Parts: sequence; C-alpha cells; structure tokens
Amino acid sequence: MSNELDASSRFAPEPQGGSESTPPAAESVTDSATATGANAVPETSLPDADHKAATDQPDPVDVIPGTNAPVSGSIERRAVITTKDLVRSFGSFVAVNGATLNVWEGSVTALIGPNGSGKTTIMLMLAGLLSPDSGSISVCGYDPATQNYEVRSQIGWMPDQFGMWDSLTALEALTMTGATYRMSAKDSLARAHELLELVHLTEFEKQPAHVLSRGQKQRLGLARALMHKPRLLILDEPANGLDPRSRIELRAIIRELAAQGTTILISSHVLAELDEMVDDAIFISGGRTVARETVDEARAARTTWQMRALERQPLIAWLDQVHVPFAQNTDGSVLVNIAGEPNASRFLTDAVAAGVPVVEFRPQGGALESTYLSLNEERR
Amino acid sequence: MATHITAETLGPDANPQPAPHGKFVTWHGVKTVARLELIQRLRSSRWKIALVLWFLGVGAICLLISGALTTSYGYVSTTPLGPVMFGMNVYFILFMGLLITPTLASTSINGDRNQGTLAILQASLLSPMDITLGKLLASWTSAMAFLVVSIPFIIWSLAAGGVSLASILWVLLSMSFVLLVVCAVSLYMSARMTKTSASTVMSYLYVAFISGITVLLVGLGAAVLYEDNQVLEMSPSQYSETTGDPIACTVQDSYRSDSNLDKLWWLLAPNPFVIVADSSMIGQHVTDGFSSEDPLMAVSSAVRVARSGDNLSYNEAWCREDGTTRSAEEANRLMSNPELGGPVWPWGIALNILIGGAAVYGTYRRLNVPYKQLAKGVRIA
Repeated sequence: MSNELDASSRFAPEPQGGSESTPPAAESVTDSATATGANAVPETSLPDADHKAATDQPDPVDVIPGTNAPVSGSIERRAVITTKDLVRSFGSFVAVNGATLNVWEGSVTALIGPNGSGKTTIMLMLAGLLSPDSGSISVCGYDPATQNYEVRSQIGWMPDQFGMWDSLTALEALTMTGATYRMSAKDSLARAHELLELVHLTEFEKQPAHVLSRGQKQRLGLARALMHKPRLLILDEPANGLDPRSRIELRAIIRELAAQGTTILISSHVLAELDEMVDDAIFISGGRTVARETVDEARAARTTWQMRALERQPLIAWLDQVHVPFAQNTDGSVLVNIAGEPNASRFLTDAVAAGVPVVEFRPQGGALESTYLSLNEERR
Repeated sequence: MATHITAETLGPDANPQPAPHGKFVTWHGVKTVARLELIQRLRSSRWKIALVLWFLGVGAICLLISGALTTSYGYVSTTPLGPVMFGMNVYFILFMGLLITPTLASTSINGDRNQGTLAILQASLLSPMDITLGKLLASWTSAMAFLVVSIPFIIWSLAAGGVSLASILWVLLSMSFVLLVVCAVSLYMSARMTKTSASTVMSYLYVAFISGITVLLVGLGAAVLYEDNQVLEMSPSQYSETTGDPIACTVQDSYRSDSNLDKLWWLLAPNPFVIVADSSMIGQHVTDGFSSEDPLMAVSSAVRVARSGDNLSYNEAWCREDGTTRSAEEANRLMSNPELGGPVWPWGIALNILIGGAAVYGTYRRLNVPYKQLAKGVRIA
C-alpha cells in the first residue's frame, strides 16, 4: 500500500481551496505550528505508546483486556469497543490491515476515512457479522466470535446500503424488528410509536414503506436500529441522502442519545457536520487506524483562519502593518495562519481594535476536515 | 423547526440485565421469520391471481382427464375407473406442484440479500436456524396453498368409486412431504447461489433430476448391467389329472437374461412419483399391476418388483430347483404376490429426509454469523 502518512506535515496547513498565492512566509508559521504540536512522529513507529496513536487518549485509561472494566484506580471512562490489530482480507484483497481502536462509553465517535479504507468492514466485524482473520475485538465486554448473540443484543446497526421491507407499513416494519429482537408485542408497539414520532414519520405509520422517499427510509432505518434500546449504535453513513433539515434532526437525535448513555460510532464522509456531532474521531486509511483525535484537539490544531472585512483595503493594510503573511481569496477574504485558538482570539481583538471592519472571522474548513486532509492519505 | 427531543426513554436501560446466550432455534424466531415472509408474499396481488389461475387451470385439465377416461372406458377393463382417474389426477397435480414449488423458495435468501434485508435479520437476535426454518415454513405453506386448492380435484375421484379415503390421505401426506423437501433444496440453492436466476435453475435441475433423470438412469443402468446368467430352468413335466397343477418338474441348465434392476431400485426410491404411488398403496394389496391403467398401481408394483428382482413366473413358482413341486397354496402365494421386495416408500421417505436435512443444514451453515469465509460475490451488506 503506497499511502504514506506524511507525519511531518501533520500540522502543516496546506493552502486550502480558493487561495491565489501561497503565503510567502508560510514556513515560519509552520515551524511554530509543528513546535506546538510536537507529536509528529515517523509513520513506522505506529503503533507506539508515546504518541498520538489511535489507542491513546489524553488520559489513558487502562482496561482489563477482553472486558471494558477499568483497572482499579484509573478514571471513569470505560471502553465500549476495544479492538487490537484487526486484520481481514477477502481473497487477495486486504480490507483491514491492523485496526486498533477504542470507543468510549457515552461518546459519539466518528470513523473517518476515504472510500475503500475498510470502515464498513470494521463495522461489520464490530456488529458481529464478519469475523476477523486475526486480532481481537471486545464489544460491550463480549467477544463477537464466541459470544455473538450477546454482542448482537447490545448493539443497533444501520448499514450503508440497507433494505427495507417495502410491503410492510412503517409501523409494521418497526414492530417486526421488535419481534426479531424478541421484544414483547406490547413493548414493540409502544416503542415503535415512540420512535416514529422521534424520526417524524408518524404520518406514514399505516403506509407501506415503498411510498417513502430515500431520506424517509433512512430515518426509518435509524428508528429500526433503535428499537431494542441498544447500548451501542453503529451507523454506517447515516446521513446519506438526507435533506438538510433531516441532517440537523439526525444530529439532535444523536446528541440526545449520547446524553442518555448510548455510545455511538458513526462513519461519514461529511466532515463538516461531524464536527458538531462527535466527540472523537478515528481516522482510517488503507485498512489501518492512522490517527485519532478528539474534536477539541482538532479545533485546537487548526491553523488556517479566514477573515473578511467590509472593505478589503483596510484589512490588507492592517495585515501588512502587523507583518502577518496572508493569502487572498477571490471573494475578498484572506487566509492567515494562526496557531491555536487563544492566538486567534487575540488576533481578532487586535484587528477590531485597529478599526478594521471585520465581518467574518472563522476557521478555514472544519476541524476534522483539516486533520483529515493533512493526513495526506490516498484514496484506494 | 424544533429539534428538542422529548423521549426520555430513548437511551439504553439504566440497569441492563446481562445478555442471555442465544438458543439454537426457537419457535418465536421461526414464527417471526415465517410471518415476515408470508406477509410480504400475501401483499402482492399476483398471489391471489396465481391461486385462481391454478384452480382454473388444474381444474380444467383434471376434468378433461376424467372426461376422457369416462368416455374412452367403453372397453372391458379389469381396472375400475375410479382409481385410474384418481391416479391420473394425482399425478398431474403432483407434476404441476413440482413445477411451481421451486420458485417459491429459490429466491428467498439471495433475493433478500440483494435487497439488503437479509443482513438486518442476521444482525438481529434471530439465530441462523430460525431464519432457515422460518423461510422454509413460509415457502412450504405457500406450496400447501396450491395443494389445498387442488384438493377438490383429488377428492372428485371418490365419486367414481374404487378409491379409499385412506389412499387420499396418504397421497396428500406424501405430496406435502415431497414438496417440503423440494422447498428445502430450493432454499439451499438460494443460500448457495448469489444470483436468483442461478438458484432457480439449480432448483429446477434438482426437481428434474429427482423426478425424471432417476428414471432415465435406472433404464440406462439396467441396459448396462444387463447380463445373461446361467440359471437352472425348471419346467413342469407332469401335470396332475385332477387339479391340473404340476406334480413333477424337470430341471436343466439354461441362460436367462437378468436386468439386475434390484441393484438399481434405490435410485427410484426418492422419486416423488414413486413415493406418492407407493404410499397410496398402504393397506392395499399390490397385485401384479404392470398392465394396470391405474398409474399409481402400475408404478408401485413396478418399483416393488424391481426391488425384489424378477418376479416368479408360473414355472418358477411351482417347481423347486431340485425338481420337486411346491404346494398349491405356496405356489399361488409366490406367484400372485410380486411384492417380495416390500414397500418402497419408507426408503423413499428416508432418503428424502436425508436430502432435506442436508439442505437445511447447508442453508444454516451459509447463514451463520460471524462469517469466516465469504463466498465469491457475496456482500453481507
């Protein structure tokens, strides 16, 4: 696999789309950025204990292998999912080549990677449908290879391409799902009504599923995954095909679920909205977990900020005055490199104090997007 | 747009019970899958049309058969009309049943897989055996629907007389069983093949094999195994003046051709037509019915005789190999009782149970999660 993780450029921002010229003195800013994020390590030392490998957390919690019970004395967070060195191939094609990750209880974790990076395969293994060639998995304390039923009882899974029983009504689809999860008919019905209300499909209660649009079927699929109140939700691209309003609702549902104790693992391509939904991100490429970062860290690591003023001239004049290199966009905004949010805040205060009519000051690109692009990974 | 979610019970239970270990198969699971399948089938309106067409079509042919037999039965015949009509109708219905049953199960699993609904079931708390047996139950129930609709035409023959209620019962039971095994094999094909067209073709090939090719194989096999044996030929030399029965025999060396069918009869045993025919003879005396127009009788006796080897001719019945003769009762018993081989249907049932059981097990293996090996072209989800 020729996907080199160019670790030295981990925190080096590349000029993001729209800039006409590279900042001339970008190198100096880059150096300071790499100095602050002193975690750039050569790729070959993955996985190592003392760098930001995918298994690490800022405060590592030791768990007893094979369970999610913390070793006594360590802190609260328990791992709902623990995998180590997962490998899975299909014939000669190696889909997953060493995935090691933890997912913490009550968190919303994103699984991010290019197409073909093995995200779906990993999720299939976590859901207990596929067994790895080697490596260990623990889901909610159970091993999917030997305790498959137990694993399935704890998780709700929404695949990327799922089917819906088109001739069943929305309500029947949910009650049927309840029956497959061995819920009583009464519980099933009550829960189905509750979930239909949650995903705003109550008016389709008695309508066959084939009249639903793509987005509505997606929402019904989410409801289906929630039927048996799973401890862990595995969602493979749940926002696929959803209109903007549904995406926002999905975000709200997910945050609410997490607040009530459900652990959620989402894979998605739409990084911008993941920023607002997830706490942690695991980056997958070429079947390996290549990096992991919390959103807070990603936000802190962002270094490119976009700035726009009512009139371009005062802004440019001020930037020249304070000797800050910048790149100009076609729409009149500029891009500057600033290390860290405290510095950015100070920068903005200074600009406003200097009389620059600032109307927009925001990070360029989403936090996760910046990290993802800086990983420099190749699509398969 | 309010995005405030009000469901308090959205998340997992606060104090969950430890997860139970799954059972191999449960009635609840089987029932759920069967219900799911049948609801989906019933909701397609073509279903009702199919049953109506079946009723009309099969009914028309059966009535034609019956009519044709009644009018052409002007000849003096040893066989009563009732059983002949019964046999013809039953065989026709069995033939049609074998034609449509493969389609009822051959797309069950790979169709779901292509649609994306199979993985949903596998990820739920249903066991692979639940899914297998549930789908089998659903497809068999569908086949039974067609059979039930045909019952009037089977019972119709009662009116012509000569057919016992027990025969009808056995025939219905054996047809149901035979179709169950066809469903099981078709279901296995749908689990084995990824394309629905391939599984349907294989299911039909199985039906063709078990119904037709086996007969072909037996015929060809008999021709291949045909041999001339040196045997002792007995012929009566003296006849009693009072009874006309032989009282002495001469024995000489001779050659006799032997088609060795007794080595091949087992190929015919699982044949659905043989099973139905033979089981209809339960409780009845199978006479030497080779020339009978009753197809059930003819087939049954043919297979039983094949099993036992050539039946005894008059000479062989009367004369022993040492030249003496047998008593009249003994000779009559040996001659008029060609079923020395005994009923064939138990063997047929046993073989079919083996085939069906293997098919069910094979399907279970293909649905078992987690998958270690994925067949080529199979995508779980």
